[in-house]
Amino acid sequence: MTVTAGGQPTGAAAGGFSDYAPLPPTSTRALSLRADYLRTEVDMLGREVQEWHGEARERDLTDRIFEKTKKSVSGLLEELAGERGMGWSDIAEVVGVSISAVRKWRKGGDASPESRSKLARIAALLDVLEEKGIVQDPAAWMEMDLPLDRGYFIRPLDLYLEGHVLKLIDLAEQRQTVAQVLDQVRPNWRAGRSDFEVFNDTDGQRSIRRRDE
Amino acid sequence: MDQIESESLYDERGNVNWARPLLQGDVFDGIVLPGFGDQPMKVQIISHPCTMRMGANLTLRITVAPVEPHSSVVGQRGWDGNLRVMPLPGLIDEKHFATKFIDVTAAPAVLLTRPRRIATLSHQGIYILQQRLIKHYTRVEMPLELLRRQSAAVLTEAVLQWEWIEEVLTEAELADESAIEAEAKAFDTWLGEGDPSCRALLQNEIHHTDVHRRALRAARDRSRTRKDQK
Repeated sequence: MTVTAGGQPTGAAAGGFSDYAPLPPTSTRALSLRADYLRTEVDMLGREVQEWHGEARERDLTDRIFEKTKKSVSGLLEELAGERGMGWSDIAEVVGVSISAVRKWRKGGDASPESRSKLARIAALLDVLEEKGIVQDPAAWMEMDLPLDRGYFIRPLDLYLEGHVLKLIDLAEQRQTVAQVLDQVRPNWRAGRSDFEVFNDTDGQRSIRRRDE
Repeated sequence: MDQIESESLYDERGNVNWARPLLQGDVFDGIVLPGFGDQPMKVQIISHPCTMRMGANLTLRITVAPVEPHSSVVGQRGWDGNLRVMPLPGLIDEKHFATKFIDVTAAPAVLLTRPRRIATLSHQGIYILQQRLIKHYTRVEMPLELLRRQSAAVLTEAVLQWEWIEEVLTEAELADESAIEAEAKAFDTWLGEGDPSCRALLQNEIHHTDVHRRALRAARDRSRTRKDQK
């Protein structure tokens, strides 16, 4: 079969490469080059916007944390536990202290500046998650297992404790899927799937059994 | 098998908050165990939080295991090389102890009083204890995440009770075991009220924040009412 371009034979039928007729500027090759160029531009712009968006989010979070640190420790705890309903064990885990220590702060005990800053940080993040309008009850969302196949037990709180705050916001804004985020922050997360599951037992309590696929 | 630093293993050592309900992992001193001679000893509660209570009351007997000095329960080798014990590094004055699973027995609940409680475990510490108990009895190794999920409702209930008691009782009452027990019953009654009750709602993590807010409101209302009545 002979392939022609503009009435001229092409490929083997046309002989060597130099036998090709020069393409006019409106040809598909020029179109392809233009598309290559535009896509590169868009990719670069996309990366730039993504970086800029990340920076803007970080600055926003930093400003909010600064505002929150103006509150007293007991005020921050009232916000987190009393208003948000966050569990004392989660608050303790976020700050890296015992529940007893947090309970003492609640009653007026002294907390270190570092602990106060950690309380301000989680309070600021919960505000962001709520204001984005996607997470109605951000403290509850942090505690829920992420929607993955059975056998995975990963909470947003776990990602927060590992320092992936911006990825968490990505997740809340549904810019990336849970799997995409986990692939980036926990590359081996799939290997952590358990053969067991938790279920509500006949006595009304939770029990553990082997997962039935 | 997982291991944990002593700073993260304990919730408290020494002076333990009386408002915290008795839980798996609590360590007591001065307990004379039936069948273990006349000498008072240290014991750790082994019973799962789900099985040590009937309503608000403790069961008559609670599963415990003796706690003894143990020099080699620190570091990777200490945790991995002693699967028949629960390491309790730095339990008292930086001295190391361990709970001997092989001597598990039942202690009368009346002996396990708040003044005798010398340490409590963090939630993470409780999961580690559970993991080691399962391993000891079955040779099955459970991931901590799974144990966390299984225990979430009952441990959340325990922390809510602790908060309730501290909100409602005065400082003087917080040093009175009978006042604490009475308030624990009041919390238990509140938790079981309504349909669905807050206790039922705790079976799903999505409701935990809501139940926490409701519990705190109810405790503060109760505290105000008590003050008005005095």
